[in-house]
Amino acid sequence: MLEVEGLHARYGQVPVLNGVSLRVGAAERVVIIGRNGAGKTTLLRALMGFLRARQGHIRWRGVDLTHLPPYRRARLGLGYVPQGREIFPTLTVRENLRMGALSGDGSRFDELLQIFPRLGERLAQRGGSLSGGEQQILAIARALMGDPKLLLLDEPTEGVQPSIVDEILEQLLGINARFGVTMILVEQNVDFASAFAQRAYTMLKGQITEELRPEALYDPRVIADYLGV
Amino acid sequence: MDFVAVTAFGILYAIATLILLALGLAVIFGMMGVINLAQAEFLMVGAYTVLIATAHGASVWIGIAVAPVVVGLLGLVIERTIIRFLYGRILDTMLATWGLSLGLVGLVTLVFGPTTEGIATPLGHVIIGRYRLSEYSVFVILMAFAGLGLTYAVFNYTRFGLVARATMQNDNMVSALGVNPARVYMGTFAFGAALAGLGGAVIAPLTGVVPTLGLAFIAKIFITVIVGGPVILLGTTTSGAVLGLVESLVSYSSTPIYGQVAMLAVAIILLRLLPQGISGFWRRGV
Repeated sequence: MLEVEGLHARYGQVPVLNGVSLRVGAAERVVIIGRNGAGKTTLLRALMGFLRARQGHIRWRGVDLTHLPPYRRARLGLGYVPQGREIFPTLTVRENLRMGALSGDGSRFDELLQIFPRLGERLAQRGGSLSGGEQQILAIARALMGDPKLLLLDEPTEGVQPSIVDEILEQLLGINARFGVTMILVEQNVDFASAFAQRAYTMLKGQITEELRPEALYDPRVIADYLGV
Repeated sequence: MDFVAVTAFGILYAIATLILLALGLAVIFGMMGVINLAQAEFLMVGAYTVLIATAHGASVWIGIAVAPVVVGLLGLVIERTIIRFLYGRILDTMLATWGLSLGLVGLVTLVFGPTTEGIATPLGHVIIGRYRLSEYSVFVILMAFAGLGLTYAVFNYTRFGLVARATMQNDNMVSALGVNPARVYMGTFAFGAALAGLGGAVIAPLTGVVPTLGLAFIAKIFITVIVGGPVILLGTTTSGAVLGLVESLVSYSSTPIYGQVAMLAVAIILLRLLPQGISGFWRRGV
């Protein structure tokens, strides 16, 4: 499904991705762990097209995405839940969801409100008035409105209260099963990452260093190498 | 009694023209943040469209209907060739659009000459007591309301409006949802230009048409939009009402010069008290 080969990218003169290669299969759930600054967020941004690839290739269902702008990638079935959620604060919850349906027909609306009942109660509220956890759910639902086949999730647990973190985990697993959406998660929360993923990659200094089974994320060596401060 | 009625009508008219002329700038500057110093020339081209239409035997109404299309297309071309390279670069934008303003005035002067051309004001008059009111100024007031209503409806009830509001907040996120933000900026700028074309066309029969037509309004409409603040439509309407009221009241009781001075003074005081503009502390919206 998704094949990334030798991807290089940089911010100005600072190299942040130094030859990332990975493969993710259809409907698979993969997590990428690593410390702050390892390049996880940058990798997702490069996959979505916000950062130019200096070298390497991104192939998605046989199509070369490497030089396509983000909106073309979105139309080809990539969905993005960015770090910090980036919902539209002055738009209502309903309008935020409608924005998600621009590249589709919006037929998911009722179905998604069943999956995310919190949003149904707040359709007329402005996005900016929601709590952090609710905004996170809105960002996920917005991405799903467009019927993506690959969902890129950047630390969805950051700044979210624990009860909602559990809720988000269940919802993501449910969506993966129900719609067959492939998911790539970037995360530092070990409990969340290991419960979510079928497979894990570790990242260090802009490179993928290891491929692990999710149970291995609790290994003290892995924690010390990739998550310890 | 008729004096009060006529004065009240005059004030309403002053407010309406201010809002009508500022509407396009509310979109281009208020919403998009583009300091377009050629906005006055968008008004001017709108007015000339009516002049050309009437010179070719069409009615004023046809001219008014065509002007938004002409100026909207002009805006589209200007966005593609100049503005799109300058988003976020305020000084460069000011310099480029100032040059554009001079160029457009020069070009129109070259083609049509520097003289003021009159357009016969359509419609008749109504008599209120000892006063005569032009029915056309009633039309101007109605057009201001229509322009406001149209703009409100476009931004709140259409797909384009929703995407435009989202794009002004976060264009990267919009592109991650499958929309090319460059197209949205282009469309929004053209829409703002079309509104200016409408405003210029509607006032043309009252002001006369001259290449420097816009200069009389450029400062006023910028002040109105800036005082209006972040909620662009209601803000601009409110500030247009306040500033138009002050200007016309002072103009009636002294001279139009003092009217403009008073308007500027009130604008400065308002911005000192509400640096974000009148709508700075309102709930955000359009």
